[in-house]
Amino acid sequence: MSDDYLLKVEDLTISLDVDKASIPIVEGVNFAIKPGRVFALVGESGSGKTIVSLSILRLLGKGVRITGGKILFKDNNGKTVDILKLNPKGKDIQAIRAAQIGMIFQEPMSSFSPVHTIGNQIEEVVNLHLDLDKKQARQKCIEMLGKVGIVNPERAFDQYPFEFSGGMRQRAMIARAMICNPKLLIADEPTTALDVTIQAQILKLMKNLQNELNMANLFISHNIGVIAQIADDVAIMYMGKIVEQGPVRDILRKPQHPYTKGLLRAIPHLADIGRSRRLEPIAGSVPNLFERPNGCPFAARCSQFIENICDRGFPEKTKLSPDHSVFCYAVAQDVNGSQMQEVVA
Amino acid sequence: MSNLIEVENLTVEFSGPSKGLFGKKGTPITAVDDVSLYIKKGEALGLVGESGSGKTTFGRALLRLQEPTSGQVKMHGQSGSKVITDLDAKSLRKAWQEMQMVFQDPQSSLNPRMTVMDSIAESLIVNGLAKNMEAAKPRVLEVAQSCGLSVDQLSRYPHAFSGGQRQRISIARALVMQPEFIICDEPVSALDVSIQAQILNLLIDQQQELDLTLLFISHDLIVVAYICDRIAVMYLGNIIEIAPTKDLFKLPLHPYTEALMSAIPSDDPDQQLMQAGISGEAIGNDATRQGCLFAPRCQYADKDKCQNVKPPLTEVNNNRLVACHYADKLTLNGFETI
Ligand SMILES: Nc1ncnc2c1ncn2[C@@H]1O[C@H](COP(=O)(O)OP(=O)(O)OP(=O)(O)O)[C@@H](O)[C@H]1O
Ligand SMILES: Nc1ncnc2c1ncn2[C@@H]1O[C@H](COP(=O)(O)OP(=O)(O)OP(=O)(O)O)[C@@H](O)[C@H]1O
Ligand code: SF4
Ligand SMILES: [Mg+2]
Ligand SMILES: [Mg+2]
Repeated sequence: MSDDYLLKVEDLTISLDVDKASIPIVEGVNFAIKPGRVFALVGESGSGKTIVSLSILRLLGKGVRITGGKILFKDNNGKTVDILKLNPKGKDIQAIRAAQIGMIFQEPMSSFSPVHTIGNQIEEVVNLHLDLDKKQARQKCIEMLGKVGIVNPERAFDQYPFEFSGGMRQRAMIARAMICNPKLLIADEPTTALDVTIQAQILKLMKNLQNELNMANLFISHNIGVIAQIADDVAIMYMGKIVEQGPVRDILRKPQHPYTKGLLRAIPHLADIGRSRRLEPIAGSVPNLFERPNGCPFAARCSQFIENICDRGFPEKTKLSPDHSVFCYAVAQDVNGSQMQEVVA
Repeated sequence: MSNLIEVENLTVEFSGPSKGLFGKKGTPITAVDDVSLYIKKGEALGLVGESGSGKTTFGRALLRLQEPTSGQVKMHGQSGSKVITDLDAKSLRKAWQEMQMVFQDPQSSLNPRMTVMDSIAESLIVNGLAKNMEAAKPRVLEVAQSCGLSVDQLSRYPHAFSGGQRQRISIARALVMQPEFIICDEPVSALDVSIQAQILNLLIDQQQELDLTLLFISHDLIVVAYICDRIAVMYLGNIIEIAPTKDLFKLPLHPYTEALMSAIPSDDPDQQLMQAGISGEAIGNDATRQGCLFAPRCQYADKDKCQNVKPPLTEVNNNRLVACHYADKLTLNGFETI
């Protein structure tokens, strides 16, 4: 059962080299994505979501180093590859990029070259990975541009990035990432620059491809509404760690970790318009990377903080159901406490 | 309450996309198309619309960071009334003390080689409101504190801050001038919801305490609804509907506004995504366009009037302004229960 994953991240640790010191920015991250499922990473800005997603394609920048763990991927031949063992510049990872794992980057502006047409830059991916002649390749690109909602895809094929609005560029990137029918699509804030109508179109398109082609999706977003609409499973990150993980309905309706609860309380709701305009942010602020606490990373801001427990090492995993787990001392005490009570009763 | 800002027939054109990289210019596109509106003193006006509809260009044109092609912008501030669009460079610079903009991308609007303290103090000194750093300091500290920045953070450089902190720095930079009017362009779209809540609270407080007037641009309709008293909806450079926030959400009068409302993703995983959806995207606005600009995507469009006659922004029902030939006949869906 636990073997039906497409991608499995085990104990991933990534560090930043600063003046000879090495500071962890992602620590002991574990998750698995099944074929055809949407797995979402949500959390604090700066918690390491982009870094985790870039490490899957081995695209981390200078000074950012993978210091431990495995990233297991079942490739097109049914073989399991540890992506972290591949040469980041080698043939094997290049064969995986775009053809098997497509990526939509957080910054659409910088991901197209200004001197080539949009069409040529999408065609490039097709030529690299599919065996089509010139005419077929062009046709396939135009079809995909139409699918992401670009009005005149034939004309768009021959246009340059600067002639596209921000939203159009973002959609062109989505077309490029999905054109080879990847088994896994990584989408880092794919709809932040889009208005809600285009956003809804893109989410529907992703859902369709997921159903038609059994495509899996690693989806990153700050927008809880978007997460609710697209995700099957959700992991909540705080300071480089996953603090809670589970099916989307459990996370949104029965959040357990104090950070997850705080995050959900901070969301503005339509129903409250005009009642109270003030929102409820989480008290305090994220500690500096250089002052990473020893215990639970959320301890300094947590209303359920337990002295001499929460500040002693990262909490163990508490399972609330086979799929829903939390890393929190207070939750663990609650769960264990009520189990003891059950035993007594 | 009296108007702080009055905009009359504001138009901004850009020379059109050229053919190929070095080709000659095509027909000019109209990014802001004959817009007239007012913003009352102490009011927060929201500006929403499709990406590329001209929201940022409109905001920049109000401050003349982008020179409008035609039209007038007036401000009736504490120092008296002035026509912003008629000011010479020197008087415009002075007017900027009263009107400030927080830009879409804080990363690119902060100087990486200046400490946060210097960044915030800079405009005070440049505008002669403080003689030097020493004189500027008390005011900077006061504003920084109200923006949730601590004293020890002020000596750091921008790269040492997270996105949310940088956003607060740029808000502090705008507030330090004690402007009467601030334009916020997507101030929270890249931030997690907790930091978003902090920044929105800060804006709400400043607005109430200082009687600040706001133009708030965002794709997130719920965020706009929280902050704003009224909302203007833009489509291809035109205001197609403008109404008090609650009225707009309860009962949209323009088909595009209805489409926007139906596309707000619900945070209930069991609720269907976008029912009354529209497809495709807007086709560019230039002088050759006829009829209602929304007609090609509108499910209510007829074959005659909508295709040939551009509906003006007119008053219907009880004081609602909308640009649709059928606004008084259609019954559109919003969120009746709010
Ligand atoms: N190239 C880099 N060099 C140094 N530090 C980096 C680099 N990239 C990221 N970081 C740091 O690593 C941490 C994690 O960054 P990451 O971009 O993964 O955050 P995120 O969760 O994607 O945030 P956001 O929601 O704002 O996009 C942050 O503290 C960031 O400042
Ligand atoms: N400097 C420029 N030169 C040419 N065209 C421009 C320029 N700036 C903006 N435009 C065009 O003007 C139109 C309006 O752009 P603007 O940036 O104001 O839109 P927006 O509503 O702010 O969009 P977004 O929601 O994506 O930020 C777009 O078609 C854009 O391509
Ligand atoms: S004028 Fe016609 S096309 Fe335009 S929004 Fe109204 S019904 Fe639709
Ligand atoms: Mg990121
Ligand atoms: Mg903009």
